[in-house]
Amino acid sequence: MKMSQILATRRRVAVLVIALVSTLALAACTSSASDEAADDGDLNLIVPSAPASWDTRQTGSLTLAAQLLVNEPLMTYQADGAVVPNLASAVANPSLTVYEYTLAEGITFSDGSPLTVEDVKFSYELHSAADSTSYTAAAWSQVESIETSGNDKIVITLKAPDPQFRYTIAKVGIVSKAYYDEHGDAVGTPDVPQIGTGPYLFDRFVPQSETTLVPNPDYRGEKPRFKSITMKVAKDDAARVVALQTGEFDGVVSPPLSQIASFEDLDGFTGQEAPDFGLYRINFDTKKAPFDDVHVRKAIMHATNRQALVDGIFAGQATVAPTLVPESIMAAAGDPAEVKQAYVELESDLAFDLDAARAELEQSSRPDGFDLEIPVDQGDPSQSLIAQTIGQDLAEIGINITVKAMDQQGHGDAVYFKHTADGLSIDSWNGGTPDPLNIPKNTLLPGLFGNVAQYDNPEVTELLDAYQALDVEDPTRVPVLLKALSISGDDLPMVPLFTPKVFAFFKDGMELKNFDTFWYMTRWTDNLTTS
Amino acid sequence: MSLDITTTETTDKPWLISPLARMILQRLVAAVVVLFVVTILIFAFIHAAPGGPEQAIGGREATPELLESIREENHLNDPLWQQYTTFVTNLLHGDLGTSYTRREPVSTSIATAAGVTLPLLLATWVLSTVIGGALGLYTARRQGSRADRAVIGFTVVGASSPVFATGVLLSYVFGVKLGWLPTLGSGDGGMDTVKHLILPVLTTTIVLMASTTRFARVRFGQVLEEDQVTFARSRGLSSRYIVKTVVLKNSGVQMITLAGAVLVAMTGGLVVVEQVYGLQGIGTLLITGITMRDIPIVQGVTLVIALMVVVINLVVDVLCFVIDPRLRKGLEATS
Repeated sequence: MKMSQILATRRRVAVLVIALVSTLALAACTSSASDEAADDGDLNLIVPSAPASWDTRQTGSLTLAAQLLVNEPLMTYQADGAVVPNLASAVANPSLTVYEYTLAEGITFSDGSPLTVEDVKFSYELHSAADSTSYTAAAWSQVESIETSGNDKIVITLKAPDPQFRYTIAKVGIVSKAYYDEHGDAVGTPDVPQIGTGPYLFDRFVPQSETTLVPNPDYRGEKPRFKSITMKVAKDDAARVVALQTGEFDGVVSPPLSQIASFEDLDGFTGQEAPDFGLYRINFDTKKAPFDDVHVRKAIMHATNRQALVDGIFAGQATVAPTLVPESIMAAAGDPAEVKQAYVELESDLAFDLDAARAELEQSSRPDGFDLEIPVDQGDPSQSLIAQTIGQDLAEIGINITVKAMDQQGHGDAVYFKHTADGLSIDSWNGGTPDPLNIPKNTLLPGLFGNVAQYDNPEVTELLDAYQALDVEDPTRVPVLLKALSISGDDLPMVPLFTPKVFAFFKDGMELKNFDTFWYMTRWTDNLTTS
Repeated sequence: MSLDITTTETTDKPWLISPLARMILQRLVAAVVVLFVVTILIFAFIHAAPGGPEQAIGGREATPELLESIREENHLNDPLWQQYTTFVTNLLHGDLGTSYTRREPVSTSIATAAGVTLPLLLATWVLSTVIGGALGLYTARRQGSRADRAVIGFTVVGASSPVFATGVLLSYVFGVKLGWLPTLGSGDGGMDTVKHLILPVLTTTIVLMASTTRFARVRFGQVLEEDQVTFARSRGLSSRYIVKTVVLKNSGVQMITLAGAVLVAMTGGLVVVEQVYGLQGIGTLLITGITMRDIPIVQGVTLVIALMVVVINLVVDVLCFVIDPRLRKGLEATS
């Protein structure tokens, strides 16, 4: 090659390099997302999930953090546990089964139309209709009627007392009936954004991925403080950590427990934690051999080292669960000393003791042990780790397990819906309301989805019904529930393993006041402080 | 599977259309058959999978009655042949159905996802084939040199690194350390979207360039060793002229085939990079559809992917016939 050609080639390469560098530099100069966020009042959060649609029937749990800022509820849950009027001006309970709400005056949707009692009735009937596909349809199945009276009264009558109903009301956003009449099932999709009466509007929505809220300029109350709130889902663990490190995001809420140590090591971020209202558990299908034998169930319980699971899998980011309800939740509803005593007794029944496990197995219908396949949801890696860990101790007493990873729907089908698994499963179950009844009701009453064990003890059912019939202020409530938990503990349809903690990490100087497991039900933007 | 339409003609009668047009017609007929088989297979697989869409629609607290109601409403209790017939009938009317979970037409979901995937796919494809081809040519002419060894080393690293690892590394460098580029999401449109796509494009390009570079290096090297190149050099023709008129022309068919193969592989293979960067593209849409048992989404996306694969292969074949006279003559001889 001639020298002139070499020089020409080098010039071209140099031009290309300069062009590339210039492009990257330009990109750097215009890369404003990471730098502008907090200063301009933009709030960017990484969240664990986003709904496929913002139709109120298809949202729940953490997705309510965005939904309830747009579609306000009639009553609002507060961090101290109180449920206070929001769109309602007053609420009355003539009896334990009747709730009378008075609608506040002068409230409008973001499209300018007035909020009426018909809108409220319609919003609730989306969930209470017999063929409703609402995620909360089970909670609304206890509603006998929803009536309006005059221009400002909504009267809801329950079939039986339900102490959780006040929370159900606080979780349902109010929608515009006229808007639904016009757009039907398309409401909540990217092309037909949901509208509400709240301080924010849906601005951008990518199903199951991203949501951006902007202030409602006509909001009746105090002006929203954030210029925008963006919530993005990060599916990949490493990508989640890196995304936070870029400074593009102000925080992450409810990250996987397996990543807590990584987030704690990040400079510039401070973690917050609270006990979760939920637990990991081992379920025994009591209708299937050999788990219809209580000695088999007890053998497995004694062979399960729950503290080792907490230490080994969750690095201490969980607490061993003596029963289905976390002690803090139960203590908040009753006498803490009484609760503590009861929990000590419940815990003593669940001791890890391989000799006791062998003794129980020898009394059982399978004294020589057996082989077992445990289905686990591959979307929750902790389940597989738990299964493999307990499998080592179970092998010591002659129970040999294999772990079968399944996708979420396949696992749900085998474990919850059709009960086609071998009879032992591991899952995590979270409470949907702050009432201590929530998990026992969903997991111990016959016929309910969470009752994987297909457990049916009339005495326990009667006690849970009795609990529901009592006023929320009645001091005898908690002892009734404790008795139900004690009886079911003896029957052992499931082994409570541990209650994980729930975490959030925010940039240094930011704090979500009164952070707890139900923070998403509160007007959390008011509690987010910056220094 | 292909249909031999020549059997209806006598061999001594001239065709009314050119051999190339006839070949395209044959491929289109075959494509219809392929797509038909794909729809049947996907339909069978998604219905055979445990769990149904009613669970995703009804949520975890759904009662058995509600689940049954959802199945009825969505005709999931109808015989499979009847469901398939309905799907095909709607398809022939251009209707891919409505997503169970997103409550929007499947065509809308696909169009939205394609808005993310297509730019990613096209940019990656162009960069990996052009840069890979250029590096392949460069190293083929300098085999054994430091530059050659450096490029080969780079391709080995690129080919050995999992996409997610490369993605995380680039995110760390350009997102965390340099703070130049966003690492999550697809942006708000316009330049913001372009910025969000730079790292995914770079990640996929690095991985794919490993293959394209090595392939191009081998093929260009083979041509450079042929007698015609030696003869051209002995005639005193310039290197540029030789590369342009001999090397590139004689490697054209293989390079186009490679480019087509890369595009086909990427059509359904971008899911990992989409997951790493939180992009709601076609791959993520398909994975979510499978997870949620959203049958219309799964059927629609797989059909579109299959259609793209068929079209890409057809275009590749046509281009090969266009640029290589030997193939054209072969085609004419067999017709």
